[in-house]
Amino acid sequence: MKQITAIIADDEENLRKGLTLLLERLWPELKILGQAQNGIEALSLIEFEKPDIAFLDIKMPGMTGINVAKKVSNACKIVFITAYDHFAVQAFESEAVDYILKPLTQNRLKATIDRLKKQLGEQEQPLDFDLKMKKIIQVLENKDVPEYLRLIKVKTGSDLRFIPVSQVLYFKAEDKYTIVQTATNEFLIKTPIKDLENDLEPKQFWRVHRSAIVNIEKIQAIKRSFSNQLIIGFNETMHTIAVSRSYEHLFKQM
Amino acid sequence: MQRLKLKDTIYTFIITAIFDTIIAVVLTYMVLDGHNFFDVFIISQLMGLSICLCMSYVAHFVDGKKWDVAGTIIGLVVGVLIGSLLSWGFLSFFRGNDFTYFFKHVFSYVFVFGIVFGVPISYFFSSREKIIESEKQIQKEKIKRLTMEKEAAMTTLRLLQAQIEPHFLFNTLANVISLFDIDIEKSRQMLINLNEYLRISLQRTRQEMITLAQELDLTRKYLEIFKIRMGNRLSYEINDKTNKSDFAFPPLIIQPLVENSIKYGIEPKISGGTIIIDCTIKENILEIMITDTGKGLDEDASKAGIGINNVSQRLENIYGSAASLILKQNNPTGIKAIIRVPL
Repeated sequence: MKQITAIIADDEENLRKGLTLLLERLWPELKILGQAQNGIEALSLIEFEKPDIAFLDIKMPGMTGINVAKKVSNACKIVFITAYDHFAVQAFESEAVDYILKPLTQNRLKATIDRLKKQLGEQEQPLDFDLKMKKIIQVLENKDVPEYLRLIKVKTGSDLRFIPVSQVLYFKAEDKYTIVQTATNEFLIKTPIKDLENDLEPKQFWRVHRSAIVNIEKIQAIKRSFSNQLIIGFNETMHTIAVSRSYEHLFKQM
Repeated sequence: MQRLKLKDTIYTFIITAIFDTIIAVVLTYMVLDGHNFFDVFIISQLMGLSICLCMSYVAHFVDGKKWDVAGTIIGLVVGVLIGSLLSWGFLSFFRGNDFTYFFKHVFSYVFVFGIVFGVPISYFFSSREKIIESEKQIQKEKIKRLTMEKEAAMTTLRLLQAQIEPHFLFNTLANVISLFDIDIEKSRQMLINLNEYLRISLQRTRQEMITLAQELDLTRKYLEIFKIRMGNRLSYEINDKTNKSDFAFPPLIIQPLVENSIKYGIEPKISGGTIIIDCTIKENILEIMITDTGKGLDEDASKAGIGINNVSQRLENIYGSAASLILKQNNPTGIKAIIRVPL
């Protein structure tokens, strides 16, 4: 019978060594062809060595384990290694793809080894595996979509700075630019206010005018002007923003 | 609140009296050819003030929006009638006019003028009152909302402080277990570091202020754990040149920034990188500079800095505008975070 081969990919050396030792103990016939310490190395190792099994850490520099699995062209059983990810584990379980959790335990690894032996004995349809993998990748990628903008990238002279959104009083459209106003500074960015609105946390950043979005956590007072318009004042500054009629309801129904 | 209401009412009466005087002058000199200014003045005041009184009284009881218009009209009409009655009383007592004379020659004028002047004046007052009311309402709601928000934020903060990232915990434990078989001494060292890191983390969640030395100590433990995990992909330096180890400093300011540097800067970079923490005092300002040579922030990572906003918010809560957090791109690569707090 042909010898079964595997590779191990994890960015942390101790974990690679630990898994190698455990596998030697529990599955002495398995031949480990090599170890990779990032996603790119893992992919070329798989392409070059053509192992039967690849143990892939999910969070690796260069390329995630998920993306490595996506790019692998030869038939290779993938076992994902993950620390704590309720979401990923659910995805794996529902598609019956193998995974092991960190910290590794002998019993869990033994179960995985038994399953791998059985699968390698049979001949699984590669198409079926592809389909499963695609579903998992979809779940994981959806999860990875970042939620809201937390830092605003601005240029000041030759410097590139990142402004935490919590420091921003308001965003105001001005010609082709958007003014980013903090308590002490004013920056110009090219992102239109419409795009910003979609990227900012809507509970904290309110559109109060066609050309203005305010950080409600920075509001100090709301007053009515002589022309009966609502005017927003901000903490520790003289800056004000007018609320247009169509947005006044935001402040009345609180 | 009561006092403010009384003040508002007195103010309303004074303005009414001024209006009445103007009406009296206008009536006397433009309509009645300058005769009997005193009588017209008295009647005008009696009318105006009784309208004002009735309307204030009605306004006091009729609070619902539905009754606004009806209440205003009732108040106005009753006010005009009472004013007329008082005017008659005045004329019959001091001028000896009998009721028929009054009804024929005075009442119709008084009534018509009462309504004609009363309507715009009451409109002026009621709308002014509404604006004051809505402003108070907005202010009140805002205070309520801010209090609620503050409470919610405090709860979240406490939770965040108490929370130890599971990824960090499980990965570290996985290392400890692997190291049992590889290097028992390193394994022991890592457990000690983790133990101390957890102890300080849990302690500091209950404290508003710790010392700079404690925060640096905690950060060092955290970095030491990563040093064992990442091997030579990570190097770090902590340079404390303040000579002020007992300086009171809020917890969770330096460590979260270091955590960000590792998570978004150095871990995702194949070659790894260096973190340098410099603490200096310049002109009564403590400056902490955290420099990493990691991947830096790209467009996507700018959505990831949850810890940074937390740190910025905490600094503002504690020091107001006296403290600052600046994030810059480090040259040639990575991020430089500069924290400044007053001594």
